[in-house]
Amino acid sequence: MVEKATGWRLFRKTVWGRAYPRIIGLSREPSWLFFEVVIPAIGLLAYLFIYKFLGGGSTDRTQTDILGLVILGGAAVTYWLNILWMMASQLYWDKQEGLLELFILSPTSLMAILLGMSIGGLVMATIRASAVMIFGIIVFSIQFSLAGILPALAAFLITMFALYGLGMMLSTVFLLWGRAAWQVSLALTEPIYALSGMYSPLNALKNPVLVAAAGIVPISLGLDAIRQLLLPSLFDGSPFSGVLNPWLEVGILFAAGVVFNIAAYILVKRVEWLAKVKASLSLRWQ
Amino acid sequence: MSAIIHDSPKKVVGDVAESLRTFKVASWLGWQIESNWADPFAFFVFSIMRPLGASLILVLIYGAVSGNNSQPEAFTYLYVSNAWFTLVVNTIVGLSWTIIDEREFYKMLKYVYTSPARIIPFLMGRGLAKIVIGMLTFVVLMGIGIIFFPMTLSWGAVQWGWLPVYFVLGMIMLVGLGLIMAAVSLRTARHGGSIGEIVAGLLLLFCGAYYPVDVLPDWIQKISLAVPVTYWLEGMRRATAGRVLAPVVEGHPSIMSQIGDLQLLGILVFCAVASLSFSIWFYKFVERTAKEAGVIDKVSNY
Amino acid sequence: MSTMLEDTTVAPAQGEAQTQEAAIAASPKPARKLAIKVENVSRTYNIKIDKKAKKEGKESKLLTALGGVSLEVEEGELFGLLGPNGAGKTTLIKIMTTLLAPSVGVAMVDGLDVVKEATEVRRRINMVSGGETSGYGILTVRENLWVWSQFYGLDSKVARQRIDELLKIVELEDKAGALVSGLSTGQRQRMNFCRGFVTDPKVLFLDEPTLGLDVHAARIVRDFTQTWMKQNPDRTVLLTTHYMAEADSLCDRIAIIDHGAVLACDTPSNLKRMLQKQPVFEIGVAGLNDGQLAALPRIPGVVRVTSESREGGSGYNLKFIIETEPVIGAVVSEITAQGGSILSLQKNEPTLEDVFIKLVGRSLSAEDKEK
Repeated sequence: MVEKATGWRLFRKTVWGRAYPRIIGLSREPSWLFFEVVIPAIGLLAYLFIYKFLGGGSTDRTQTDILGLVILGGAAVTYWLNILWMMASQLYWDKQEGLLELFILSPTSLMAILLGMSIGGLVMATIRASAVMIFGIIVFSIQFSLAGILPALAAFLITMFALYGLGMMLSTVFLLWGRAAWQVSLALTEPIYALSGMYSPLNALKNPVLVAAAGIVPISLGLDAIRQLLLPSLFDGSPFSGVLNPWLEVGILFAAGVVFNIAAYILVKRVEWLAKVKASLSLRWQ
Repeated sequence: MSAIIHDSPKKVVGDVAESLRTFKVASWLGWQIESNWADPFAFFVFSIMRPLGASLILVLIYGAVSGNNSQPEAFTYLYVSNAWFTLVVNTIVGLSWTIIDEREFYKMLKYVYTSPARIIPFLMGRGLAKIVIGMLTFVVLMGIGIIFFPMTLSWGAVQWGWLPVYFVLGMIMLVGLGLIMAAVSLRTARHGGSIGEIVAGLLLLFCGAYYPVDVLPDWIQKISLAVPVTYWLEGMRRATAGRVLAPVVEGHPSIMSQIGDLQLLGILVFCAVASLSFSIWFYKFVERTAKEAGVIDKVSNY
Repeated sequence: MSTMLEDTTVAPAQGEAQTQEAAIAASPKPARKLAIKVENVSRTYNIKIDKKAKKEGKESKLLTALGGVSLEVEEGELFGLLGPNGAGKTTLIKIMTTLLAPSVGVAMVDGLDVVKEATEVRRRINMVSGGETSGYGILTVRENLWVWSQFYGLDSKVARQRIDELLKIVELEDKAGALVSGLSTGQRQRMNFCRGFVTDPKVLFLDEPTLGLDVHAARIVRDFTQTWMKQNPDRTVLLTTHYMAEADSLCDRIAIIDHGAVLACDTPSNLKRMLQKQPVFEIGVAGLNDGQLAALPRIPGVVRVTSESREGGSGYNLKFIIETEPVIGAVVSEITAQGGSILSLQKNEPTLEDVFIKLVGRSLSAEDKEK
C-alpha cells in the first residue's frame, strides 16, 4: 500500500486540503469583488446618513469617525456572514451534496476538516473585509489612529480565535439540526448585527444583561475593543463610549475562544457518534 | 393534423391558463419550501426575526445618537419606512433567490425549464410565500413600533383610500425589480447570499428608507430620485401617517413634501408599468444568453 | 413451435455426477484472510409519526433495514452484492464503511471493528458511489483529486503521480485542468472513480460504479477494476450493481439480498446451477430425417430432446438436456455419423437474472417498470 501520513502530518495535510478550495475560489469567481465588497461598502454609507439625519456627526471629523465606526462594522459583518454561511451551514450543505459522507469515510478527523474550513474562510473573509476597509479609507478619507493599529491587530486575532471556535461549534450543531438550524441562522442574521453593535456602538444597548448576552458572539466585544483602539476620538464618552476596557474585552475573548474550541472538539466527537447511531448523516433533506 | 395558428384567441387563453396553473403550483411549492421545516408558530417567529433585528439596529442607532433628546418625528420616519422596506427586500429576494435555490440546492431549475411550465409565473409563484411573509412582518413590526416606541401615528390619520392604490402599484414595480435580479442570478455564481439581498442593501442608500433623500449629497440625490422605490416608500409613509413625514430637513422643505398625491400616483403608475415591462424583456434576454452559454443548470459550489 | 422427441432412454442415474467446476469448488482450499466479516448485523430505525397519526392512536414503527445479515469476503475477492432497491445493500455498505453503526452485531473490515476502530478502518478503505456528482465545482479535476488524497495523508508528489496515471486510464487526462463544474455527468463519475483508487485502498466499496457511464467508459471501469485486482492480489472489492451481466462477468462470488436478509451467497455458476443442475445445449442441424431425429434421445447421457423447425424450413433447432457436459461430444458425433450437418451449437445457462427472479420474486427491470 502507498504510504500514508498519520497523526499531525495527516491533520496538517487535511487542514490545507480543505482550506484550498476556499482560497483558490476567490480568484476563480471574481464577481465577488463587486457584489460582496463594492456594493456592501456603498450600502454602509446608508448608516452614515442615518446618523447624520438623527443629528450625530455634527462636524466633518466626527462624520468620518462615524463612517469609520460603520466601516469597521461592515468588515465585521463579512466575518459574521462567513461564520454563518461558510462555517455553520457548510457541513449541512456538504451533507446535501454527498461530500460529508466522503469526509467521514476518510481517516482524517472532522476537526481538521473544520479547521481547514475556518482557515479558508478566514482568508476569504479577511480579503473581503480588507477590500471594504481599503475602499472606505480611500474613498471616504477615514483616518484611524496609527498608535492603535498594532493593538487592534492583536485584538482582531484574538477575536478570530474565538469567532472561528464558535463557528466550528455551530457547524457541528447544524449537522444534527439540519434545515431547522439553517433557518435559525438565517433568522438570527440581523438580530446579531443589532446586538453585536455592528452598526451602532455596543453601549447603545444600555442594558448590562443585553450587553452580556451580546458578548456571547465574539464579534461584539472584539469590535468594541477594535473601535476603541482605532477611533479613540469618537469613543471619548460623548455620546459614544466603549463597554469595557479594550484589554479586558480581549482577555474575555481569549477565554471564550478556549472554551469554544474545546467545546467544538467535544461536540465533533459526540455529534459524529450520534449521527452514526441515529443515521442522520446519511439522510438528505433532513 | 391541423396547423397551429400563432396568437389565436384559443392559444392566448391556453397560455393564460398554463401560466395561472404554473403560478398556482409554484405558490404552493414556495410555501412548502419556506414553511415545512417547523410548526407554524416557530416558522412565524423565525420569519419576523430578521426584520425585527433590522428595526432593532435603527432603534439602537437612534438611542445612541439621540440620548435624552427625543426626536419622535424622525424616529417615526425611520421606523415606518423600515417596516415598509421589509416588503421591498422580501419581494426582490423572493424572486431572485428562487433561481439560486432551484439551480444550486434542489437542482431542479433545468427540469422547470424543460417542462411546459412558464418560468416567469413560476418565479412569481415561488416568491409569493416570501411576499406574504413580508406583509405579515410589516403588520407585526408596526404593532411592536406603536406599542413600544414613541411614534407620531394615529389610526384616524391613515389614508385608507391611497394605501391600497400605492400598495398595488408598488408591488407590481417590486415584482419587476425582483425579476431583474432573478435574471442577473441566472448568470452569476452563488456567493453565500443572493444578488437580491445585495441589491436590496444597496437600495437602502438611495431610496430614502432610513432618511429623507435631502440628507444625501446632491449627486446621490439625483440617483435617488431616479429609483422607483423612493417614490413608493414615500407613498406608503404618507398613506400610513396621513401626512408627509419629516417635511422639513435641515431647515428646508423636503423634496418629497413638494410632490403632490396625484403627481406621486402618476409617477408610481409609470414606474409599475415600466418596471414590469422592462423586467420581462430583460429576463428573456438574459435567459437566452444563459442558454447559449449552457449555464442554466451550472452549480458553483466552493 | 418445439416438439418433444420421443424419449425412450432410461431415467437419469440417481445421484449427481460432479462437474469439473463443482469438483474444484468442493475441494479444500488454503485458508485465506478475511477482508470483510459481517456477523449477525441488524439495523433498525424508529419511524417518526406525525401529530395526526399520533392522534389517531398509531404508534411509532420500527423499520428493519437489515435483519441478522452474516457475510464473509476473502481477501482478493471481487464480491458482488445484488438486490432490489430498498433491499438493504446501501445500509450494509454504510455500516461496513463506518458511516452507520449497526443496531446489533459486529462488522469487521480487514480484521478491524468498524465501530470501535473506525479510524483505522478508514485508512484502509475507500468508496465510490454511482451517479456521484459531488465535488468542488470551483476546482479542477486534478485539484479535486489532490484535495481528497490529502484527507488520506498521501504525499502530494505521490498523489499527483497517481492522479495523472489514473486519469490516463479512465481517459480523462485532457480534462485534468478543467473545472469540475464544466464536466458532464459521466466525466464526473469517472473522476470520482479515480478518487476511489487514488488512495490505494485495501478494501474498495463500489456502489453501482458504472451508473451513468456510456458503454465504453463502463468497460474501462470494469477492465481497470479487474486489472487492479490481478496486479494487487491482496486487495478486495465489494461491488453493488443492478447490471446482472456486470456482476456475472466480474464477481468471484455474489450475495443476493432482499428485505434486509441475504437470500443466497455463492459463485455465479453455483447460483445458476441452483436453478438448473443439468447442462442444456441448443444445436441447429440439417439433413436428418424424422427417424434419425427420433433416435437422438437414445444416445447415452441424453435426458431429453426437443426440436423446433428453423426459419425457412432449413433444418431443426434441437435442445438437448444432458447428464454431463462430455455427453455433448457423443451427440455431435452421432449427428454427423447419421449424415447430418451442424449449423450451430450453443450452451444455454440460466442467467443471473433468472436466479434473482427465483429468489427475490421479481426482476430489477420489472421493478423499474413498476415505478
